[in-house]
Amino acid sequence: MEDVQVHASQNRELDDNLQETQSSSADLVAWVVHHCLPVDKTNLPKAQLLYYGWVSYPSTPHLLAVLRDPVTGLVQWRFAQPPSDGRVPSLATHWPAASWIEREMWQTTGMEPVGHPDLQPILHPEEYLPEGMVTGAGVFRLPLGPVRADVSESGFFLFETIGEQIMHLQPQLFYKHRDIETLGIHQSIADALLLAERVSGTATVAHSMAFCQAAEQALHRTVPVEIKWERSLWLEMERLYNHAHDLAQLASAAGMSVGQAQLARVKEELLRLNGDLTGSRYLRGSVRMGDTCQVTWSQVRSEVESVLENADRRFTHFTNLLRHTPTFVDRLVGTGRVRKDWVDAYGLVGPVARACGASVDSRNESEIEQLAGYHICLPTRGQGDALDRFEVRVLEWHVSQGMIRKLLDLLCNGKELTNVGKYKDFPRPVSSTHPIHSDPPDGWGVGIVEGPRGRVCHVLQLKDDVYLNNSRIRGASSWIWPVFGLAVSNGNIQTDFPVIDASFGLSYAGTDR
Amino acid sequence: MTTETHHPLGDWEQLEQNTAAALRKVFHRSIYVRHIDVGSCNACESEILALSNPYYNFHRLGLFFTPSPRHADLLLVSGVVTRAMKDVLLATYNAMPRPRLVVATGVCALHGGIFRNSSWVVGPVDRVIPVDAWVPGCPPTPYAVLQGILSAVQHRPEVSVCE
Repeated sequence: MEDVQVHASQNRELDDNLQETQSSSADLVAWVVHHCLPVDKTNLPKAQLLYYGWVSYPSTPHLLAVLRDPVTGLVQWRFAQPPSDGRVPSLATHWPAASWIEREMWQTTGMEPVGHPDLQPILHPEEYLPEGMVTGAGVFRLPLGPVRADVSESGFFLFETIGEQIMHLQPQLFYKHRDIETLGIHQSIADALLLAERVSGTATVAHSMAFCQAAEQALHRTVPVEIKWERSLWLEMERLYNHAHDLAQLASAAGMSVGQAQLARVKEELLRLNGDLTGSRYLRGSVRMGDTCQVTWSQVRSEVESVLENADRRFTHFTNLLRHTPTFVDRLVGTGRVRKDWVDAYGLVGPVARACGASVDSRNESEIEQLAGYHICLPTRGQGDALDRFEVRVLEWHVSQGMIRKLLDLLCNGKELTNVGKYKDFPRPVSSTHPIHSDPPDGWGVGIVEGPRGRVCHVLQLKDDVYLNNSRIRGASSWIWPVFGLAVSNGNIQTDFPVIDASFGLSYAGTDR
Repeated sequence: MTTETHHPLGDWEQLEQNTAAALRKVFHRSIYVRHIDVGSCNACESEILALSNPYYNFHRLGLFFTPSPRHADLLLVSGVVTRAMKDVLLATYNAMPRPRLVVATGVCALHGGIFRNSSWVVGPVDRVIPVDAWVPGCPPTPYAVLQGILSAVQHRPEVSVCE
């Protein structure tokens, strides 16, 4: 208790700075609803919700919402102190996207979201087993996990089936909750960066880059363009091996052993390239605060390009073969369909959202990515099924390949390409000094990165420019998990589950934190 | 470090021959591996899964993944043991037939890594079940995992089947 009081007095100054962004919790929820929810089904949502949840500043939990206007890149912050009885209006009543985070908030801080449609415990899965929702004759309950077939992360699923038909699926996560956000508090920036790298091992760059962006914003530090180029390059390298992995798993789920083996081979070659360049196959330590990786790009360029070219040749060949294998395509068409209205309702991100035809991509707004020839990949069908998720990943692989080549060019020649060609039409950021055009409260920062699975967001508060006072993490999969159960029970049968699971390619560790 | 081995990593051929002999003696030519993630960040899973890709192809040594712990000879554990996974780990271990081996993979499984101070964490794997071999690394490379499995087999304690 004493500790908390000391903590509070140190933050009085910060507290004063935050007055202008303070509001009541009801105002905050109304503000998010006003800015984020689509007015009608034809309109795109006006702003993206980057983070919604709670922060423990300075001593009591506060609500925090961070929004971004996708066109101008303007980030807006709002804090709210909950009333003394801890009852706050629930955002999930208006917007299902907030459902899981409010359940977590309720269990962690005791703040009760009043009117929450499904207020059940989400943490401590060992104590609260799901009970199921379907009743009636012929209903069969099949529990799966947390230890399940193959080498996979730990998570639990409760299937409720009638015959082959999946009527309802309830995923239960947080078996691996390590409470990384609390571990980060009072850590130095360097130590917290290590934690950020280990939120989700296969999204190391996305999380560490988001963390560094947030810390740099809190420190009001401008990042040299060479560092931005190199970070973007690591990010695309990470996307390449993740997409190869996801497609290998998808081929495996559909029984395509050759496709699986060959795409796993592509992944291994890319991991080895990462290891040769940075010393870590998963690019740990490659994103640093205010420093590059000290790679002499002009020396390694030809080798990198030849590895990428070989990988690209194999990837293109075998994804083409898969695409023209009727037994493979048949398993994917219409499987695990994500309805278009779920994209807005759940704030979906990443390849899962793009497979529905929604142009959601954080790289849209970054000048570095524009410079490197980024363009958004949307499948022509836009049905949101497993085949579209396959297509999106194949398309993105090729875009990432091109981006890496241009970034290599930039890193070797050190001068910017002036011609961004046909991608000029995409919205460009207003600010040229920082990728995130915003004015955060003093000591706070936000980092937004498009990882392999979608938008990764880190929100943090620094104390004396050295230590972390608050750290909040929103991984890409956190947005998508609530939809996973809906997509699985959307007219699929039991044997479709492995295909749907592989086509989503979600991270458990990134959601559990 | 992994448990002490008489063969340096470089002498791969010798190691392979010796292990194949050990495998034949104890497990009749093959070992079934059950992997369990008790709180890792997914990098260890990625490396363990790589064992079955064409580069490492651990099937050539007679090693296979099995979906059920009841068919498993060896339990490959990754990650720091979280509170929610402690009983699951015990249940998985108890479901395995004897003789059984346990390999702890990655720094988190060894001593908790950077998560060891979390209040949601029980601790390293050997706080819950006995461990036969430790594989360091964050994440350990597939070769290191293979080396860990092989040294666990080679240095297994003498047990009778009716233990």
